[in-house]
Formats: sequence, structure tokens, C-alpha cells
Amino acid sequence: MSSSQGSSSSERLSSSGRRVEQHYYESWYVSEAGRGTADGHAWLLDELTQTIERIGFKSIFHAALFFAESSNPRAQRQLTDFAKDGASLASLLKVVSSLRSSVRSEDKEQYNAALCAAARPAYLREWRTFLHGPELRVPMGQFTAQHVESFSIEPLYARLRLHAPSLFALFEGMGHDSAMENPPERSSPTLNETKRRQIRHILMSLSIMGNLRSRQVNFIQGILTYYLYVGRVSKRVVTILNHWGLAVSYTGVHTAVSTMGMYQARNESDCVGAFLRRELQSVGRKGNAFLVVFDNCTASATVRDERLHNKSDFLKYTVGYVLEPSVCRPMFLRSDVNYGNVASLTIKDFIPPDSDTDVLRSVFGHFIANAVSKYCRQRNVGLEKLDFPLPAVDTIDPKLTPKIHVLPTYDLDESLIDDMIEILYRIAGDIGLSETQIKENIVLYAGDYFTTITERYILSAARC
Amino acid sequence: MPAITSPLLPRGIFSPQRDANDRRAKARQVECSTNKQLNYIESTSGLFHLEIAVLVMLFRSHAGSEKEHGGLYYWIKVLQRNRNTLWDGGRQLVKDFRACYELFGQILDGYIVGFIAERCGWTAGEINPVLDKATDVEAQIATLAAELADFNETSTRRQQTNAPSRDRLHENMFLFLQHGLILRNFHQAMRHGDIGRLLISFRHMTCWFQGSKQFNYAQETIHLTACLSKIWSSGLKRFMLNNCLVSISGKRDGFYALDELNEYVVREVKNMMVHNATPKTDEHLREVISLQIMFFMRLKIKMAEESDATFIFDYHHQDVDTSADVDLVAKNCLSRKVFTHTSGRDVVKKEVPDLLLNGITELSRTTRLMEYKGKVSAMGIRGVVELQNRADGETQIQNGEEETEEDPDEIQIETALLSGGREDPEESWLDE
Repeated sequence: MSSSQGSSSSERLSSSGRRVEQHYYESWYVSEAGRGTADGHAWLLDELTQTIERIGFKSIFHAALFFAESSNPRAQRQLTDFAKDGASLASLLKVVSSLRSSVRSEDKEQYNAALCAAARPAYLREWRTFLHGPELRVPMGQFTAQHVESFSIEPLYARLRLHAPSLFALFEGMGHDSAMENPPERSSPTLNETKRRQIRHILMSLSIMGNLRSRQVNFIQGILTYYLYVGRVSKRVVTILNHWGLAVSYTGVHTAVSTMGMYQARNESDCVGAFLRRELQSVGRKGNAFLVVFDNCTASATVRDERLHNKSDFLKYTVGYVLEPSVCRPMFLRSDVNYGNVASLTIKDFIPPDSDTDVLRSVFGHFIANAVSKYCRQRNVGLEKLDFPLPAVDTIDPKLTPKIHVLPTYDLDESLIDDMIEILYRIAGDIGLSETQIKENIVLYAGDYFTTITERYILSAARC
Repeated sequence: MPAITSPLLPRGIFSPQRDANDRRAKARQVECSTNKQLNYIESTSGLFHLEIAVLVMLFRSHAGSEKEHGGLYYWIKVLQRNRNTLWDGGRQLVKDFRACYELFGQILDGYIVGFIAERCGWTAGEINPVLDKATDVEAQIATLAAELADFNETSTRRQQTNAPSRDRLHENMFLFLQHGLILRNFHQAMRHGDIGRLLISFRHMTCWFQGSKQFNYAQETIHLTACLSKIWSSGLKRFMLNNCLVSISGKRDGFYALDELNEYVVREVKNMMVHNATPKTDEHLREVISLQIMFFMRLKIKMAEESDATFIFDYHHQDVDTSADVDLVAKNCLSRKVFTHTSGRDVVKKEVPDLLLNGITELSRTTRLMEYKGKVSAMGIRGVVELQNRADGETQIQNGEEETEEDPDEIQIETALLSGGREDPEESWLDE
């Protein structure tokens, strides 16, 4: 491009003094049609570079930076227009990022700081969205059993990731490099253990940071603290962990536990306490058959230094539960129990039938083979595999797990008749038995021998 | 003090507590309004406590003495167990159910291994090489199982053999095997939720109780059999059987009896008690925390699942290597030729009762059964209570008599437990 030296006009003088075109295509490049072509672009940029260098700038980029930083309204307008075109801005950032290796080592720190400062608002924006999401905000007073039962890290992570994809990608990258390229998919049903571990750690980290910003971001800490409470971790430990952001306060978890078991919660629809009480009350209301089991619970409340009003005592409580079978059937009627039928009881009803012997032969074979195999295994004896399967006669399906509703503990002694009557009244009240059910139905009660015979004292008196 | 008779307790067994309970129950229930009457309750006893009672019965039957081979006391000494932590000699009760059940199981396994080794040609020395070389172990197991399933074996032998040619040691061992296997079947059936196998063992146990001195459970098992066969409708019976065992984990071998599950709840409630309880914290425990016991359990499981740490629940499932104890029992028996009937062997004086035969004999007298039928068909639950009262009284008298008959020298006082395991050297000053 020797022709470009010293002149910007489209014409030059030849050696013979004749006026000739400096560039044969110049006039076409500057025309409207020529500007749109690649060659035209290149020629124009070349011209622009020459011009910029001529006016004293180091490069076109330095000139653009000077232009962008100036207070010239035209420059500001152009810059705003450029920024509005997000794709161009992203391309610019990409180009700038790709220059990292070319930056001089003494300038690298400045370069990194500038790059991170540019990214910070974007991350902070995502962070704010993340914090305002409802997933991690559960007031401890509204902590429900469903929160725990539906707690699953994978769906929770996927939902939270939608709020802050770049932030999560950053954390995933910090946890594992390859994860940046293949982040956990939302719909993936089987994440391997490493990814699940990564998810747990990221959730915990973000939750701790979220808790720093707002005390209301407490879901993960809440569940963890509840777990600590169940594991009987002391109040002091919980307080220390709370100060580290790993747990909610002891007051918080106490509120959650208390609301769970309260009769009347502040917000009945939300709290677990009301939920558990409602569940218990609904057992009777449903009108289905169920079983009640209870037993005594004795413990000594010792006092190291006894005083006038602080003595050791022996506690006698009653603890029980209600079993609601998974297969429902209506409550039994009084006619389902008929003591008059015992007249037809014969000794045959007690003698083991011959069919039992066949089953017992197989069962005994299984137990003998098991004992011999176990002994040989523990003594390293190379015994062949013994084939004595355990016969199944009438098995219950283990998948049909019943609902167990634990009753409140009653400060009553089942060995005293007055207390036993009170226990039975309270159970009836707690499980919501109606007057009609009390008059017409039968409820099965089970317990140890002593409980059973004490109950029968009362039944016999009631049926006199 | 002369025996006081009560119209409620016709045999002259009077208990002020029972009588007071009865009167108080009547006073509270007879005149109250119908919606406060508690006759909607149908009460039944749990299977876990029944199993404990059966173990007590077996301990009483097979106790023997420390000096005579084959009894439980003998094995407790040989296996170097602490009898006082296992068995209450005074009240004749099991102190630690699980420890007693395991001890019983280890002796049972020892007998089984010894029996099979003997059938496979053991003559002397170690058992391992015999089982290693044996080719017909399966056939021997099948034969032994068939022999043990014949419950007339011992009684027939006892009837046929005259006294001088009897071998009580062999008979006792055979009965131990039968009783132990029936109990194991009951236990395993409960774990696997197999009602059919459970009832098979239950029928045997009902008969065992009739010939035992546990009159309360003898009466209770009669009543439970009557409930299952006559008193309850087929729907109620099926409902009870389907729900008498519970699997809360959904595992095939994770079933518990209803009363056993309640023991878990009791344990968890006790665990949540605080040492510095006040009326307020006590109320919090009873009214708030108790309700959440099963929720706590679900939370623990959930957290373990979400942390991929479910293996933490398997820490207590590691099998203990019991082969040394089993080997000791088996070799001890083999060296004495216990597994072979030896006519005229007279090393054991006490005969273990054939519980099944004794029970069937007792039932065949029909006294208890007729009385039950008569009272219950006429009086309903009132009849059950009357019979139960009497059975309780008889059981208490029995226990009381045994307590007074107990030789105090037989009960070892475990001083190690009281003094913290070691004798205090400073105590010598007492002798000075």
C-alpha cells in the first residue's frame, strides 16, 4: 500500500505529471454499494487506522476507549447504542477475555480486577434473584412435616439454579472443572455420587452466604438444625454452629419443634404441630378400622443435691401410638365380637394340626442348614451351598407400611384404675372418636399382658 | 393370716389390689353415660411380650444345675456368662431378653452343629475337618429336621424305655432342640411378617403354657386362641392378623410386633427426656415432642438418604462371630456322646418336661377349657377377667413359693458390678 503514503485524496500525480486515480476501487468502496462488501470494510478500516495513527492514537482500540470515556454527547449516545446491542457487548467481552494470555504479567492483576469488576454486577443481580426465591425461605414457625418429607437436594438444586445460572456455574467450576462444561441436568434422574456431593456442598455454601445477607434464608440450616435437635445435640453446640452460619438459632429450632406439637398453632394451615394433631384427630373421623397400642414408661428423675422442693422422683407415664393400616376398611361393629361363640370351642382348636408338621420340617431344615453354614463360614470350612429355603406360609406385604401416629405422653399410671380410665378417655379424645363410634363400634387395643388385663377390668365393669 | 375369700376369686386367692381395682372400675363405669362407657374396646396382648414369657418358660424348664450337663446353668458357667445379668433366680424371670435369647440361640446352634458332625462321622478332635470332608450334609440335615419335627419322639421313648435304661441327657438335649427351633421359628416369623408360621409356633406355645406354671399366660393364650377361632368375626380376625406385625421400613425382614414397636417409642421418648427437667420442660416433652417421635425417625432416614449415608443404619448389624462358643458347646456334647442315645446313662437326674405333651395332657383333662367356656359364654369379658384374676393369683403364689424355696447359695452376688469391677485394695483396713 505504497500509494497510501502522504495523501488521503483519491487522485495522485504520475511520474510524467499526469493525474491518475490513487486507488482504482476507492471511489467504489466509498460509494454506498461498496461499503457493504468485505473488501470495502477492510479498506475503510485500513483507512481509519491510518487516520487514527496520523492524529496521534496508538491504535483504533485506544481511540475507541478515548471516545467512550469522553463526555462528548455523541460518544455517549454511541456507547449506549453499542451497549444496548447485548450480543456485540458479549462479543467484545469474549475478545477481551481471550487476550488474557497476551497481557503482560505486571498488568495481569489490573486486568483480572477489571474483568471481575465487570462481571460483578451480573453475579450480584443473579444473587439477588436467588435470595428472593421462595425455596430457601421457610419461617421456623411454619416448618411443616411436608417440608422434611419433600426435601430432596436434586430438584431443589435444579429450581435454585434457574434463578442464578451463572453464579451456579461459577460454583460448579470452583467445585469441579469439568462440571463447568457439563453442569448437572435438571431432568437427570440418576446423578452420580460425586455430583450429588457437589450439589450438597454448593447448596450449603450458597445457603450460608444467603443467611449472611438475610436471616430468612434458612431452609437448609433449618433442616440441619432440626436433625441436630433430633440427635440431641446440646444447645451450646447449636449456638456455636449458628454463629458459623451452619445452623439456625436454638430459639428458631425450638419454635419449629414447639409449633409441630401444639394444639392450636398461630397459623393452623401451615404449621406441622397442627398437622400432626390434625392427622391424629382424623384417625377417628375417617371411620376406618385402626389399632391402639400403649404401654407404661417408667423413668427415674434423679436429683444430685436434694432440697426441700427438689426431690428425686420416679416418673410413671403412658406412651402409645395409633396404627392406621395402609389398606383401609370400615370400623368394626359390636357384632364382630361375640363371646357366646366360645361354647363351640373344642380341644381340636388348640392341638397343632398334622399340616403344621410338614411346614415345621422345612423350617427346621432351614434353621439347621443356616446354623451349620454360619459355623462353617466363620471357621473357613469349604461347605457346599445348602439348599433349604424357608417356606413362606402367609406373609404380610412389607410394602404396605401403615401410618404410625404417636400419641401424646400421658402423665398417668396405667396400673391405677382411675388413671387407666383417664388414659382411655384421653386417647378417645385425641384420636377423635365420635359418640356414635363409641356406642356402636369396636376398637382394637393391644399392649403387654399387664396393660391388657387392666383394660379388661374396666371393660368387664362397663359391660356389666 | 387366714386366707380371705372373695366372691370374685373363688379359689380363695385374694389380692387387695385386684379387688380394689375391680370395685373402682365398677364405680367409674357402671353408672356413667353411654358415651363415656369404654366397652367399645377389644383388648388383646402383644406378641413380643408373649415371646418373652415363652423364653422365661424355656429357661425355667431347661435351667438344670451348674453341675449337671445340658442345663442352661451349666452352659452359662461353661460359656463364662454372668448369670445374674441374664436371669433373676429369685423371681425366675429373664432380666435381659436379648442376651438370654442369644445365649439360648448359641447353645441351640452348638447342639445342631454337634449333631450334624456326629452324623457325618465325627469320632474325635476338631469338627472342621469332618464337615469339610462330609459329602452328605444335606441328607443328614433333612433326616435330623424330620426327626425333630416328630414331637412324639421323646414321649414315645420315655414310655417305651424303663427307668434304668433311659438316657435323660439325650432326651433333654432333644427337647431343647425342639423347643429352641419352635421359639426361633416364632421369632423369625415375626421378623419376616409370616403370620402362617407364627401361628404354627403359637399353637405349640399355647400347649406348652397349659402344662407350665405360668397360669396367667396359659389363660391368656386360651383366650387368644378363642378370639382367633370363635369370638372374633373372620374380618376382625384377618384384620388383627394382618396388623399384629408392622414393617415401618418396608423391608422384608423388618417386621416388629405391635408391643415391640411401642417399646421403641418408649425408648425414644425416654431418650428425649432431659436430666434437668422442670414441669414446663416435662410438659413440652409429653405434649410436643412425643407426637413427633416417628417424624424424628423419618427425618433421620431422610437426612441419611439425602447425604448418601444410609450405611450408618447398618453399623449395628454386624454379625458377631459366635463360632467359638458354638464350637465349645458342640465339642463338649460330642465328647460326652450326648447325640447318641446311650441306655442306662444316669448322669442327669432332672428330666426336662415335654412341654407339648404335658400341655396336651392338661388340655385333655378339659377342666380349664370347660371352665373357660362356661364362664365366658355366660359372662362374656367378665368371665375372662375372673379367670385371669385367678390365674394371676396362682402365678404369684407359684413365684412366691419358688422364691422361698430358692437356695440363697445358688444366687451369686455379682460384686464386680456393685464395686465397679475391681476389689478395692483400701478395704483391707476393715479387717484390721
